[in-house]
Amino acid sequence: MADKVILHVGVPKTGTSFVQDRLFNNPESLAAQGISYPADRHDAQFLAALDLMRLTWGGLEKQAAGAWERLASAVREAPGAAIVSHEIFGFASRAHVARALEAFGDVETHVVLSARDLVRQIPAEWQENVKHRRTVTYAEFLEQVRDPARNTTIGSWFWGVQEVPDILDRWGGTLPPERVHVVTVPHPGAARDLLWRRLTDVFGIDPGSLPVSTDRDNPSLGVPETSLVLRLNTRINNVVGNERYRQFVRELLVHKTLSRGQTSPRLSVPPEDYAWAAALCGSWVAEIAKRGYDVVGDLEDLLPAACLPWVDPDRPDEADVAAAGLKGLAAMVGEAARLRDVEIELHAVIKELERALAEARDTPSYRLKEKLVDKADSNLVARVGLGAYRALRGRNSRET
Amino acid sequence: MTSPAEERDLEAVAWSWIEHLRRRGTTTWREWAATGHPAVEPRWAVLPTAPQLEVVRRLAGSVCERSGAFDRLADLVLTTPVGGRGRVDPRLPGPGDSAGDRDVLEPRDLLRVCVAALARWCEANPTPPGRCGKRARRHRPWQASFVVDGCSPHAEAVRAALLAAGHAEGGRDPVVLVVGGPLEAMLAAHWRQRVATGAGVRWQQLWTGLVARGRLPGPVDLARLADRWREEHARVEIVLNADPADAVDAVGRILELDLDRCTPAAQDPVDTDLLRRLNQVLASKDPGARQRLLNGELVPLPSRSYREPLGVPAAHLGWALDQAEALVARLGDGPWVVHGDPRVVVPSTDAGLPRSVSADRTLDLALQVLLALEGGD
Repeated sequence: MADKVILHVGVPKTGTSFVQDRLFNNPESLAAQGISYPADRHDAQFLAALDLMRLTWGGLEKQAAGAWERLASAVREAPGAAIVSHEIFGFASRAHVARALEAFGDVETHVVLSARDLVRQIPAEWQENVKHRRTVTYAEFLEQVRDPARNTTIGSWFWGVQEVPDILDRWGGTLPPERVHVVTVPHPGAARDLLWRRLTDVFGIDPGSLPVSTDRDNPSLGVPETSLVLRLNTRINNVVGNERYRQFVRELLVHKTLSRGQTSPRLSVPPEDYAWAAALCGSWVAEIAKRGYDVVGDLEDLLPAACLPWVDPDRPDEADVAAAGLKGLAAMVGEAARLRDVEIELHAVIKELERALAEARDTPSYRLKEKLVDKADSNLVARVGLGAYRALRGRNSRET
Repeated sequence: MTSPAEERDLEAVAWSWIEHLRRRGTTTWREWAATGHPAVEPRWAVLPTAPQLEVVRRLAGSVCERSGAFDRLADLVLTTPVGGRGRVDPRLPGPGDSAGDRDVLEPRDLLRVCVAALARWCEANPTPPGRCGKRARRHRPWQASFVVDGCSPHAEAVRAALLAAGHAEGGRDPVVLVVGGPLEAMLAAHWRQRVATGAGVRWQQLWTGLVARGRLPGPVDLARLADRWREEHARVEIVLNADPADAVDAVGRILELDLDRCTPAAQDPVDTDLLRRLNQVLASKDPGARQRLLNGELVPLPSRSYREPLGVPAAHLGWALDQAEALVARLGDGPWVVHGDPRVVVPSTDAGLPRSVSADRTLDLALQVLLALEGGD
């Protein structure tokens, strides 16, 4: 039975994929430290989050049925401390949170939220939208995010997973503040492993003890690359199914091709929105400081650094987009060639199997059986006899 | 902007309002909060959200002939976590909030609440094991040999009429009857079939997908169906009528059978829309229970007179007309007999025809279904 559960509930785009990858791929090392990360597949806790909140997610929700109960059960039975981590848990309503906390029973519960300044989060979330098939322009995205009604799909999702004080209130409202941990993502230029050390400090893990990874980073794209994927979405949405989109666009094109070796302009916030976002960050910092949470890092990290040079992704440099397109096309051709080789190989296997089947059927006894089956179509006696034979034989095949 | 202290006071008043609603009260929140009420102990750990409370208020104000336990229904709605996408925990407006965004609850906010409650009810009332629908009737050798194909209210009416007259599909050398009607009616039936097996696709999304793929779905492409049947059967006949009852008459003449012209009521697209929303919440769990709930098999539903046909979405009407014209040409050129006018498949361009399912209508249905649960266990 677990004596502690650590719930890492967000926010997206704060290194959460890296964390989950390391936790999943180093179970023995975790166990040696008295910690478990209950997951029988890499996306098990993501499916549990979908199940808890009854979210649809491009068809994956069908695999999520029952995932929450399985996770909760695994957490209850885990020895020592159990870690639950997925960034969409931040979207949970108070009622969902109550259900989640109740599921873990009477165990010491900690909530961890890794947070980054809003000026970096806004373009990152838009890019995430694009990587999930959306075709909304950056200008449209900003308009919906800034709309105080927050009643659009984009607005309601963005603030549901990004409004740090509200998420902390929903998840930490019934916990003592010392069990609510805010881990700040350092500004660019800090030591590469600083965020990792902060998180492992909260989790109670030796930062050097989880070496195995599957390179499941979620690297970001630049302006022209994001624009390219958005344009691609407008062409292929509703033509390519979600599974193939994930495989070819998100994995191959985005993660393995376009995000590597980038030098293109970075996404940022337009100057006219910077002041609004910065003010909101300031109000959040003040609110978090008031509540007495355990801050791991520095709340100043949640205030934005100077605004990056603004390059409008809705009006990108077309030469840059073309260059990204060529890079992507090359990767796709390479993959198509590889898949074609696999197809040729499979055809050869099929041909061999067909040959073996034809050989097996080219026997007098089989030919006789075929004649009898044909006869049964027009001869009642033959039909009755065949029915009796099949009933005695007890097989499903109707061929003989 | 409401301060934390005002939020706490607000909550105390909200709990008293909840008790009022549970007793079938219909006072609005603004009216209730404006007058003093004695403090009430919170009934639950979590205060229900504004949409949940508004749904209960509307249920309380609806006419209901049953005398059931309304508080049980209210509790179902108020204690069911609301899943899916949308604003997280929209709260009641406070004295510091001017009338505006916090007051505005759109039909989709209220629908999420209704769907969550219905989904929870479906989970608590699963399909009993062994119940997999009616067993198909067996064909008898002395009966007419036929097969009915097609995805439309017309094909359904023909099948129902034949079954009611004691005739089952099958037999040696059957005549294949491919039955169809207007394209939008066939697509609506196709949509309903997909949703009945667990899909959560919207009407507009269905059409967007078809346009992107550039062809009609197999069960609706009557010429393609007829072609496939022709590979194995010599006699394939196509039956086309605007009215399902006329399709029944036509089949009766073809098979020389006396069939009852009475046709089953067409499925309401609003039912399909509500079912698809339930599918999204319940994922793969027991689509049968949801279908049976909306069919009125689990709980008697009030009779509804609303049965409007659903037109092709305006954005895709041009494509649908092109597809229909191509289908008309193929039906006319094929090696089969056509009963009726092939132009029946051309979709309506009537400007007054609804071309999407209104969220308000789906919300009305959801509220009616919830109310019908009031008398149930």
